Amino acid sequence: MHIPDGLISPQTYLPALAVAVPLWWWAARAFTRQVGDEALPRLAVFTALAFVLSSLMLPLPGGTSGHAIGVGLLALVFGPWVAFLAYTLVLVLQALVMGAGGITALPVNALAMGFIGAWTAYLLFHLLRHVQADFAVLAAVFVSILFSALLVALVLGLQPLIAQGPDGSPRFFPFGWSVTLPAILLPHLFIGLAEAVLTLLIWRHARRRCWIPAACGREA
Amino acid sequence: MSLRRRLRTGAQRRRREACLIAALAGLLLLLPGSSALAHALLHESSVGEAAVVQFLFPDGDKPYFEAYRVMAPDDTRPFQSGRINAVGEVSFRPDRPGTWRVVVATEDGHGAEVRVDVGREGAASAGGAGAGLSQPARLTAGIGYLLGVFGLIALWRGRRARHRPA
Repeated sequence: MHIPDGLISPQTYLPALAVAVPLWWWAARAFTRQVGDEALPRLAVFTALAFVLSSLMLPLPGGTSGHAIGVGLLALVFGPWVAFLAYTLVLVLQALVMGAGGITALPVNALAMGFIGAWTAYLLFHLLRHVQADFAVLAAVFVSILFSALLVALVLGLQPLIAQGPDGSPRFFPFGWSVTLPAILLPHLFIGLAEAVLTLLIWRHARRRCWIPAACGREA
Repeated sequence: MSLRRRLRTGAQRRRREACLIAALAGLLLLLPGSSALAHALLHESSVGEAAVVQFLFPDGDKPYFEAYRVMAPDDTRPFQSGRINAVGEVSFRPDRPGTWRVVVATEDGHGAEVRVDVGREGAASAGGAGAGLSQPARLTAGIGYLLGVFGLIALWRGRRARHRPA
């Protein structure tokens, strides 16, 4: 789902950068406050897991393929601000080392997957956890992935409308919403289901180990 | 519960957590051997009178017949457009020096922008995102960088705690 460099216009990534910078600053403050020395190695391992999950392709029905995101797990265990910051680090490394995503596209990718993904998972989980905790995890991760995919599809589909050459041809991403919405959202229905189940398994383990302060507080 | 027993229980829990983290880290190190790889669109360019850019996915597959555009230096109109050929290549003959761009975009948002530098003599050169390290090596390197960043944060925190007045 990473948007690479060259596919989105400056009219898109410059405003996104203006939004992302203060959010990164706020997330850095939250990281300093919330992540103690004991949790730091754990955050490192979970961030590495997110890096691997979002770098490995899953074959999907229809001959296409996609990858998980991993930010939902980070948000449920460490909170949305820390997850946003950690996932930004994942995106930077993917752009520099893996060739996936890009530097000019980083703010858009970070906002779509890191910020929206983390906050959707976190808020939905806390809304639904009183119904049933396992169901809340599954729903939170599944919906967060669809929200992130929706935002990426909307941003890409917007490009032909806002950035055109003198002859009216698209200067950046050439396909509109009628193409991007089904092409991006449908595969992420399968990805969302798989990642939700994987997240639930790891989240249960994290809860048993008291790695999630809110869950431990409730059980105590 | 006695103090000694509580200390022992705490030590056992920490040992179990350390074992789990080590197992997870081991799993991460084993994963690069997997055949399932990332979706980055890599490329390699050859130097000559005509520029040839070859695109490939990390698993060796190629974006056959995906749409591309070649943008000349300082021009907003495409110099050339079309679809990638049956061997995953785009070729074009630059008519002026400068930085040329080859942009490939798939319908699901994947793609790449390749910059090809063309000199006055007409020779083209471009960096290859795909030449050099294999994808498992990149994945391993990425995990290494990531754990290194957190290691540096831990070191910095430790130094700051030592220098803090009691």
